Amino acid sequence: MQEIGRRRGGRTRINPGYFFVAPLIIVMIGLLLYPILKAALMSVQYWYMPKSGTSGNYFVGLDNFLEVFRDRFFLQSVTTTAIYMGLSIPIRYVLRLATAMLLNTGFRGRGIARSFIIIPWAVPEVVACLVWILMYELDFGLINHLAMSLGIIQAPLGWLTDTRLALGSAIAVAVWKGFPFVAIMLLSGLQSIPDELYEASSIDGASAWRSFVSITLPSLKPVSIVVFLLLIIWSIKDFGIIYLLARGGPSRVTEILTVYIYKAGFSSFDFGKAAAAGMIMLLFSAIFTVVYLNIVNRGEDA
Amino acid sequence: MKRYLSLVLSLVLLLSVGFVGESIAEEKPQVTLTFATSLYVEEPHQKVLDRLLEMYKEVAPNVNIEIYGAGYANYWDNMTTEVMAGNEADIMQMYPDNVATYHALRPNGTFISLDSYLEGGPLKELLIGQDACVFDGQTLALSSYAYGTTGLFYRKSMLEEAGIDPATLLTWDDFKAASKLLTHDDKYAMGILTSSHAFVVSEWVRQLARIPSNGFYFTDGEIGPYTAERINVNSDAVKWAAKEWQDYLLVDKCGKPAPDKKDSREYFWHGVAAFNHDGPWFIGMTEAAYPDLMDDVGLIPVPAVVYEGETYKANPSNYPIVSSISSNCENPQEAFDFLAWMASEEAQRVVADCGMIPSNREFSSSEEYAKDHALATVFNSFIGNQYDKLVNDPPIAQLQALQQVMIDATQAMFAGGEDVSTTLDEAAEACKDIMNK
Repeated sequence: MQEIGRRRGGRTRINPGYFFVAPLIIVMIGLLLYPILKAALMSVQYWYMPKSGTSGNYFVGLDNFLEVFRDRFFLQSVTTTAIYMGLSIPIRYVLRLATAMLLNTGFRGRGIARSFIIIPWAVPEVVACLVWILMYELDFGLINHLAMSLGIIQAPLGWLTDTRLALGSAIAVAVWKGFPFVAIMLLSGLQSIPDELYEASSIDGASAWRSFVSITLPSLKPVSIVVFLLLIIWSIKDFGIIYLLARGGPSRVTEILTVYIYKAGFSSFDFGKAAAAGMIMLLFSAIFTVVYLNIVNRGEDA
Repeated sequence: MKRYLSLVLSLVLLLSVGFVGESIAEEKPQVTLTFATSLYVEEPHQKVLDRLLEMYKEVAPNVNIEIYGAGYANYWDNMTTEVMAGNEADIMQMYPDNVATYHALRPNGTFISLDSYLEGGPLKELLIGQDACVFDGQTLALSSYAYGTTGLFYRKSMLEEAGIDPATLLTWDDFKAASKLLTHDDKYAMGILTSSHAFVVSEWVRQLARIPSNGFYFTDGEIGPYTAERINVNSDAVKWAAKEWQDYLLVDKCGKPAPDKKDSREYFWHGVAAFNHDGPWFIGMTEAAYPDLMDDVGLIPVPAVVYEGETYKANPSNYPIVSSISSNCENPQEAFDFLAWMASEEAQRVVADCGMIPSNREFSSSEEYAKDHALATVFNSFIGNQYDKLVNDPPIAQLQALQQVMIDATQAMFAGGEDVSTTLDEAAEACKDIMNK
């Protein structure tokens, strides 16, 4: 049992460190724990707003959860979320690793380049999405104009209005937006790798690819574990970019789980169902995190 | 001399006390009212609302009104959050079909009843759209701003070039034939929403689906009782209308897909689309954005629809902009006084500049209004002559949930090209589930 204080001359002295973390704990309880518990409660109550004013918020057991699982749009949103994560996470990691490796080499203007990569992170999400919407615009957008000028496409494409392109377009924006943070984390990881290792491998005749596989990747493992975990968590809870770009459309092709939950609450006014879907998403996140860490730990033990 | 001066001084002091006392007695407590509206982001309405607040400052100097609100697309979610958190604005502007939904978000109702405020006064009969503000026997809103219905604006030059006489476009079939002539070389007949915007349903419904079906969500002109059995979204007439609209978009390609209503308006202004389905507010928008274009803009009524050999007159919605007072408002009398003042002739004269039709029927039917706002007055003639009884969306709390079902269905049909019969049957089941909840 953790000691919370020490007996000193018959009086228990509370560790003053607890007072320093108390504000954080209080904030976390208020802003995190209470909403989660409230949502958990709402998920088993009747919260259909058009009628709950007169009916009250009575207990309904697992009815909300059953309604969620019976809703084909829920299953569709889970699939969309899986595709979104399955594509955006590897792309984000690979691109950022490549960028970090480039920025780790010496070249003229490296300092300026390092500061430029911060820009996507510094721009507010709303502003970034509004700009991307303009760039994606069918008739007057920059992307169609450039692509047609370069002969890549013959006619303008509806990047956010074509059901075949909308999800990919949204993933592109998500990858762009999240660029800097992970690139910087990987860059700091790269900078911590001793140069002697590369020198030794060079002397032994190892190729660049061999050095990358045998030195860079293993050395980056601790940072990469954190990076992947963060990417998974961020992807699961992503909302702003998708909603601002396409509101889950067209025809719900970009409706990831968070957007589904939002619409269940604010469009259908069924907050019980939305809370139930939220609890399911929380469960997915927790399972993902535990499984991921187990796999990683098993790999380390091996 | 001293006594004389003392006397004068005393007299002056006495008179000053009298004035101060009178000022104190007259001075009303300062009141601040918050006013949420989705219109403020649009330039014509912004100018009108700013002017109204300026004028009202002179009428009631102790009342300070603060305006805020997001654009149409985000306004409703904001209002939901605010109402559920209990920090909504004192006055909220919306449309009649939204009132029931937001009123139901709180157990004792979100808005106050205005019946006692209206009793004995002229506003109930004076204001167009006031009859749409009664829910379950209570008056929950005041239609004291403006209203409008919809028509088809057209670019005169584009129709002339195609050899189309707008006066001949009397039915949907006439309109379809004309649309095909107008669709060529990156030009289209009309911009049509195909996104997640709420208008993706209403544009189709008001121009086509509701006309032969006489009720889109519910039968018999969207009147009650509002039960699952009376859901009408998969009736034969609606299915026919869905197929027509789908072919118009995906087969004939006469409609240019637009992600937002502002895009379809831009297509019209920039000569990409020859028609724009809109209301009198579009006049104000065009005057503000492209005043030189006004000479090239004409207006015809939404065409009638011939279905199974019978001709049905158009029955688009009446869009009065109404205002409700929050039950949390600490100064409901002052809030009502402001709304009632907005219905006065001096205020309505300013409201007319937004392009919509002022809701004070005495003013909007006056010669002065007709002379200064000729194009907006045309809508009145549509209502009187070409249109059938205007049909609004059902004023029920479940409306937004039903609309979300239909947004999904229309996207599937008109963007995804899915079978209309299957899609509408599924939508009908979803609507019935909502009504049965």
